[in-house]
Amino acid sequence: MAFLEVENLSFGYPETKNKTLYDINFTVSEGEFCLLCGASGCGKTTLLKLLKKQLSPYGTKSGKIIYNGTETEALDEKTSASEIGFIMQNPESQIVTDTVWHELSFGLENLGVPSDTIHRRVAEIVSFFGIGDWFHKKTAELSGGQKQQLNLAAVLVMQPKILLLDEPTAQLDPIASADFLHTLQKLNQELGLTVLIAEHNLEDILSVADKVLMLENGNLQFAGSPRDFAGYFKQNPDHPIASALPAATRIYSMLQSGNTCPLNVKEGRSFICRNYGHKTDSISTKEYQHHDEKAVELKKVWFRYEKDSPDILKGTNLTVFQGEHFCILGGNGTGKTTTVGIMAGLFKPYSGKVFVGGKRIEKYAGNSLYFQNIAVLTQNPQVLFLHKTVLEDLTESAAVFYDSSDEGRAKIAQISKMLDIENLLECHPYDLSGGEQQKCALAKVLIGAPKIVLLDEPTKALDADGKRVIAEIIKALKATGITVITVTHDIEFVAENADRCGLFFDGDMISVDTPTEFFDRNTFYTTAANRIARGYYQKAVTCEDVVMLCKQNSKDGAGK
Amino acid sequence: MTDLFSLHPFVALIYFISVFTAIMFSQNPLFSVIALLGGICFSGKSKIHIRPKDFGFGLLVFLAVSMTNPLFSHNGVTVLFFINNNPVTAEAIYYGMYLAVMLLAVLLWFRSFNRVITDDKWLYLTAKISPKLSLLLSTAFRFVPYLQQQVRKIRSAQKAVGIFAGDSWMDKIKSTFNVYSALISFGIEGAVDVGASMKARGYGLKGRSNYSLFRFRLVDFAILCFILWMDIALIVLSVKADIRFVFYPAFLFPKAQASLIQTVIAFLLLCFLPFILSVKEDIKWRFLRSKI
Repeated sequence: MAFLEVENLSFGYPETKNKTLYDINFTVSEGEFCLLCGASGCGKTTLLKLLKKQLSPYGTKSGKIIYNGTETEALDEKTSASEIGFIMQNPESQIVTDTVWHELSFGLENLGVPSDTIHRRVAEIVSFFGIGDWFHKKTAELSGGQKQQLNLAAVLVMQPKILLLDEPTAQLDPIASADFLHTLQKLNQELGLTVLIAEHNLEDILSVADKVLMLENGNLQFAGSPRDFAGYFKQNPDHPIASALPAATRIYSMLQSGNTCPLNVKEGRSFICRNYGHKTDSISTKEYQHHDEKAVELKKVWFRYEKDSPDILKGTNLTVFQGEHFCILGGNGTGKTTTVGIMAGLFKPYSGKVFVGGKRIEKYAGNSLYFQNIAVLTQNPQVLFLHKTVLEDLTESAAVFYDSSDEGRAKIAQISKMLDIENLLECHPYDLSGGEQQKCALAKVLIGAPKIVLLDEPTKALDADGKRVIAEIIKALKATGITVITVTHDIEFVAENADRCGLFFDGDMISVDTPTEFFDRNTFYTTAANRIARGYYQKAVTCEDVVMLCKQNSKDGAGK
Repeated sequence: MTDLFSLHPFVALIYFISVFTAIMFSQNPLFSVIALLGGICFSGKSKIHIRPKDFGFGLLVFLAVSMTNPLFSHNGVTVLFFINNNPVTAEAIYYGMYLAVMLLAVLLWFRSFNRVITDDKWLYLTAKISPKLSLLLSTAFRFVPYLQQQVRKIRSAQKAVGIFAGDSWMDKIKSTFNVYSALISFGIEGAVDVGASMKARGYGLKGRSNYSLFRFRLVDFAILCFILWMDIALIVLSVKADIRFVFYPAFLFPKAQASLIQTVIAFLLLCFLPFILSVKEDIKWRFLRSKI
């Protein structure tokens, strides 16, 4: 008997014409690792919430959800609270209490478990997660990754039988997100915990999953094994989800080859070696020509936040040329965001010089630095919105920069056309999806007609389609001569979109180069496609590069 | 480890209540001096620390209070001199000094109180009275740093797109207003998630239990007994014999009698208890180390 059974489930929110979910049928067996994917707004979150009685949204529902033989609605409150664990996307906002130990005991207190048992269970979970070091800490002192681990631990302490996770790694950096997925995998394999997880980025998770479900506009489009799932995209290579697949799978589906589909780097490497030669082992790249004028220049910049705190920037040198897209990569807390703050005049270095548009940054008086010059899109776009509609927000910005309201209105019209947000102008900013919010925030940034745009983690928490949109916007900005500087963790995004990039490490910019050169010289810190082709092909950094080389080699008929 | 910091919150609370009450009601300069010295010894020995500038501050308070009293209070029989035809008396000066010492002692013990009874101990103590209030406070304590962080983020985000980024007075007011209005919508959004997370983990079910890290050990019991013993001794003795020191109109010393000496000893033990505990810990550790 299936552990979780969903039968003919349909759901619609009140006062909306279209349903959110249509006639969904699937089962999850005990101990299965089940992956739920689909574009933003396809109904993933609604489906997951319906599975947990306490979070079940209000609306018209038909069909059945059967958990362990009982319909979820008939489930005893206590059973539903403890046996079905739920983790949300934002690590920050799920934390209830001020200390780690209290957070861990919170759920058990609610269930009325006696104090001694709580002590034992908390001790057990702390040891399992190895979080003894921060057991006594305040929750506010933890990093994003630690917070999400804590959320997971706080749910597991209630001994759930199934875990529902709604994009738990979307807000985390790659290292923290890999750690999190690792823990999940361990829970699944060592304890046989049933997992149902919604995810955008499938690179690391697809080969782990036992079963994949794909939603599309509220319909269950696919349910089956990961390999069949990969095969599904061989027939639909232009599907928006296709670009979220692991690099090995993407290469396979683009090549339209007939073998078994590889799901991870290891399988991808053997797939290419087995099926393609490497007589032509390098793609010819065009020499990158940058503009002569410098847009932003940092010269031996030293910075620390407080007198007694450690240096964040240690003599950083960086030159970004006009009209290029420069990407700053690097780990968490290395100073990437600080560098952006310095370029935008938010922080003042204690030593060194900063030039913006050839002029010392100190020479800009009042807000002239931000008028037709430089603008920043900060990490969380929500913080930019203050009003009830997007249009009101944009109008407020326009009033700052333009004397006449006509001029402002013309600018708003022009920008919203370029970003394709004309239909979103009357919406409340908090009602928009992540990608839409990002676009509207960008509109606000562009009102001051900047020549240099700084983007801090623009692709964070976006799905594959959202990333594609951001990439297109950056291209459009570049076409109008705007210099774009992006800070990101997203290696794949950099490989596909940057003109030049550099790694931020120990307070300085290291190895500034074009993405092809940059990634080709790295072994660990590089794209999955590059790791697949490493040692076989040279300078193949994106999936397209690898596919091109594979095709050339098979056309030549030069097998091994 | 047994010092004031590691004691059970309830015992620590009883201790501070005892010390504060004794200081306030003793009406004897000797008691204030003992309380002050006890406070200095404990703070200096423990992680609370007393820095040179604390002594400077103490001296300043002492001078200010002891000098203001004779200017306003003209009681007392020993007139030293006149200021603007108002007598300045020796009794008023001494009374001022007594007040100053008492004030400093209270301030010092209050500082220790704040450092010893931390947020989590407060929450534990409130949970004993009302578990719901305690949880509410805990969520509030967690929300404050979260919102503070958010304010910083919003402010820099707004500035970096050039909105009200100027140095003018008007810009600053407008930007502050904007930051707080954004903060409110953000806070509401966050609260929705917290609510869902609480509900998902079974908040609101009947029969909620209460868990805490504090254990009532034997040593807590022993120290509580000791504190109560000293408290009872102080009350009984001070009822039996008048230990008050009378300043006005002329000094009147309490009679030197056995019960006065006993009261002083009891108060000495009470005020130096945390200091003694810390020193005992030190000695124990030195001893342990020499064995290793």
